[in-house]
Amino acid sequence: MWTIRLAWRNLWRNKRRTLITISSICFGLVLALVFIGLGDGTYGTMIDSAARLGSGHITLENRDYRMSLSTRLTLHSIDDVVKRFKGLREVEEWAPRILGQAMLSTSYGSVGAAFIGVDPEREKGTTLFIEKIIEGTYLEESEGRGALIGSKMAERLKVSIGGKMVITANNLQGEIAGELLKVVGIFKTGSEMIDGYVFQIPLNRARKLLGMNQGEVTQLAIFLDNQRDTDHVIEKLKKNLSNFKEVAVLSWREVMPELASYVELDGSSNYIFQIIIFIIIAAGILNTILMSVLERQFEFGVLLCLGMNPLNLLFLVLTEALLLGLLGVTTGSVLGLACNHYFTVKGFNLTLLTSEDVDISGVALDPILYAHLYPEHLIITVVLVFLMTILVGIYPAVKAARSVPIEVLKKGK
Amino acid sequence: MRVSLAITLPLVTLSLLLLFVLHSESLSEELSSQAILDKIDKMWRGESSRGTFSMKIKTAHWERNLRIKSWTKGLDYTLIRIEYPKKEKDVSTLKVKNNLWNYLPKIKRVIKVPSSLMMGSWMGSHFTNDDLVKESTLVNDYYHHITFEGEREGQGVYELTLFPKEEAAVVWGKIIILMRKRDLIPLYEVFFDEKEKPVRKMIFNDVKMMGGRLLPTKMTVVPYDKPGEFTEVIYIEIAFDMEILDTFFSLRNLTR
Amino acid sequence: MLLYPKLAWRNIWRNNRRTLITQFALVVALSLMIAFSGLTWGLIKQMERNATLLGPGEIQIHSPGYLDDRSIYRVIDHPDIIINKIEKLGVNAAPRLQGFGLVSQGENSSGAQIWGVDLMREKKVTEFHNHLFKGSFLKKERDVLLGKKIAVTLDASIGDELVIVTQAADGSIGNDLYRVAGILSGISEEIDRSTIMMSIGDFKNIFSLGDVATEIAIRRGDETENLNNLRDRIKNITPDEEVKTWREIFPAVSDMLELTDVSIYILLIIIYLAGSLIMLNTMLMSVFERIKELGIMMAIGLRPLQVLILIFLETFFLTLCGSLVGLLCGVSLSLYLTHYGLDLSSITEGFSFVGILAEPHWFAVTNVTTVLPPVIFLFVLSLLAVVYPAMKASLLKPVDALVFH
Repeated sequence: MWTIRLAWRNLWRNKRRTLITISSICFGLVLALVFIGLGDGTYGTMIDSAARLGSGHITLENRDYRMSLSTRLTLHSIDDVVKRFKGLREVEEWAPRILGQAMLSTSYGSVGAAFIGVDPEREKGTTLFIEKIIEGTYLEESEGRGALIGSKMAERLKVSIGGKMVITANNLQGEIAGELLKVVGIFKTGSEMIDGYVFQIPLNRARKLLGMNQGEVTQLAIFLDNQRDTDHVIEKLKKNLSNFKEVAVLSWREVMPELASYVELDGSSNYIFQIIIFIIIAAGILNTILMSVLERQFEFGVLLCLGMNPLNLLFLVLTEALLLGLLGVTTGSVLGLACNHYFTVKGFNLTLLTSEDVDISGVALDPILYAHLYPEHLIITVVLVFLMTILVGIYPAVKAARSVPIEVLKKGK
Repeated sequence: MRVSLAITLPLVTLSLLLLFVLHSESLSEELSSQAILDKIDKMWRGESSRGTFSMKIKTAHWERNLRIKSWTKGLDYTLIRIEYPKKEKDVSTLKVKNNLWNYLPKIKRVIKVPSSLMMGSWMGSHFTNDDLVKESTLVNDYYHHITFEGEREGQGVYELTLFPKEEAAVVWGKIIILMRKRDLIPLYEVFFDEKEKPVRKMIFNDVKMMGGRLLPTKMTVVPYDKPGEFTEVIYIEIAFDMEILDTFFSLRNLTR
Repeated sequence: MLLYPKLAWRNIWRNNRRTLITQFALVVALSLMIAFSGLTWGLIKQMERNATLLGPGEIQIHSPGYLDDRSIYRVIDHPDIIINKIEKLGVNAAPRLQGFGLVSQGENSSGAQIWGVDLMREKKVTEFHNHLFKGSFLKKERDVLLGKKIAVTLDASIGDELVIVTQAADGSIGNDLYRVAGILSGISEEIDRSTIMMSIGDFKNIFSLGDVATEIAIRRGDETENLNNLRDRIKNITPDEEVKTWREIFPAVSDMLELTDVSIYILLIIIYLAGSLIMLNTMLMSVFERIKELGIMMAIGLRPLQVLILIFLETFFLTLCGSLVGLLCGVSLSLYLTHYGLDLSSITEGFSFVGILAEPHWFAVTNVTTVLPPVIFLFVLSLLAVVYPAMKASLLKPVDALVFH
């Protein structure tokens, strides 16, 4: 016990140095926490956005579909499949989808495009497209002829709300089929690819066009409350669906590998950056503690002469380092959490730096970054910094314990 | 050249003939659309054609002259072959029901044309793929009624206005046909978008007897938004209602 | 006068340990700053290279109005004449043709953006030939290269036969057979999904074109030359055509790179801050530790100004030594990263960021821009950092200095 009290008093013998050291630790920790928080928040948001614009966090599709993306490779009897995961608490929503390629024509021209047949009722809760609508409304009924097209496509086809379009596609038998559509809504995501080449139509209209049966779809998109549950929900699903041989269970990482790459890479570079910061700060802390030991070598020498156990001296210095660590980490955590809170609520506005819309591999990125520090990242970071402080204290502590009395006394003037 | 050229022409003629029949029977008698369709159906059974026509296309950047041979049977079967110029000789298109293939003699390959990738215009002309592939017929997909009857430029004419039916998969918002009163030969056809703005016009000329029928042998398509451009089709010869087997319309014949 | 430097120098080495510890912090901070600086500059340069050398080149010449509709009728006539002229400016130039077509492999088809490239010249302007996923670059007649994703859509592998159908410039149907010679690695969403590359001669055949080009792609012979200046010089030689830098043609990509640059500078600044903090820390303490010593000196008769000068000189030498060592370490680390790079490909594959390829293998650059600023910065900072404690020390009364704590 006395070690702690002594260590504490020793620290405050040199207020300036102690404060400087504590603020170094604090600075490093705050920086780390803010970057990790922004990273976590951004990746989470990006993944959710990509999932909601695409095929969900988890996608169920025909086993062979991903290889050739052929319309003919479908899922059948989806009602049975849905029963196997409907009850899972992590699942927020699910939606059936029919995907294909088609030609859209108006009296002014035609474009080749990709369509997504959706069930408007199910999509209302999850799809990102609704938020991106700039004109008109979302699709209404599942039986209707409405179409939701992108702003660039509307330009190319010279069509507006209420306008007619004819969709022509090759159905499952390979024959050419056509249907009439009316534009009910126009969206703008900011991504040229999506705004110019992707459109949504009601599920049953797609079904009719392609000649699919009831209960037959291309994909089932599953949306989770928390994207971090993805992997273990996939485990559960694979078990539940083991009887359905034709069904493949894919995570967003497999469906959007480039997004996965981005998250990995950015995450890694974030870590590298933090490691560098830590090293720099560790060097500084080492400096301080070492200096404090060296200037007290005379003292220590005297103590050792008087019979103090060298090990005690070692622990004393270590305790000083520990206390420094604690103080630094505490102030750093509080400040770091405060900053994170600010960014969670207000966000970090990228548009201060750029005016263009941003996209990664075709997925449009929200220009305001929100932080969202995951608890385990907070704990790991804090613990790491704390440990680092203690580790750094080892060398000086050993040095202190080894202060050979006579030589030190000699040196100490 | 296009499927519906061979089809539209007789179609228009037939539907007009039908109207002629109606007209001559009694103006006040209105046949139900079901009955009209029935009559047309009966008229179309066994209909076939074989013909040769020239197509001249003029765009802002180039001008082309083609000579094309075509065979049709009903609405489901069409075989088209380019005979001139030499560079494109034997380039052919086959339509069987809802499938479309192109044959390219230079590389001796047949490609199945996927709907999503058909180029906007057929062979660079002002006819669209919509014209080529769609099964839309004036009779099936449109309501028609006479909007004018009288004299224009010294001729007695009927003006027919057609509006697409609710579920019809057609891109036009309105079509107006002007035809000669005395023999129901069309003079021109104007296609409007759904905001009723004119997009293109088909003009019919050179009415002659050919293949046992009186019909316009020259048809010109003019787009409204590209002045100076046009596609002109002139029938050189055509014969109707001969025996053609369904099997004639095959991939083997496509590549000959 | 010479007394001071000598004294200062000897003072430093009197207390080896303290000196070394202080310098240790400096060395660590400096080396890491140089290495990080090199890495981030390297990354920026890499992305810029990918944006240009795996795409449009650095500067392009077009027929006026071509960029508005990319119509194959707005071409440059006799591009070789222009190319001969501009090559005299010390640049590499290659003519290109671009057009749209339908591609089929067996039952699979896709629309494609077709590039016709001059086999010899293209290699001097872009890096496509070094960026192949499979197969090899164009060699024989009617060889084609496919973008990574369009190859999947067409289910095409090396050696497969492709049918390409287009609307030729004279209105006729252009069609021909081609052989897949190579597949490009991932570059950008657009190129991966829709690009097919063939020789410019093959392009002219299928599209029925003569001696024309839709664009002339240019790359500097001298990498340090300012792009805008070069553009203007080229413009003077080719007054009839439009000359633009890649930033003007693709402003979105340019903006994105700038955004990345800005974020990288922010990171760099933070690193500088961290380094600075350490230096401040160290310097402050180094002076305060010695106030007793200084007190004695002042008691013997040293005047405040002299104390100040002494401290500054000591700091100067200290920082000089530390900087030299730090420079050495930093440059070594940076050179290592320049040569071997940081290979993150085990963690991640590449991806495209607003149409620019980001590769997982990072290389640093080591040059004056990456090395000098950190050195100068820390040097100046160290000197500034001692101002406060030095002044405080010099103004103390000797008695107070002796008991200073």
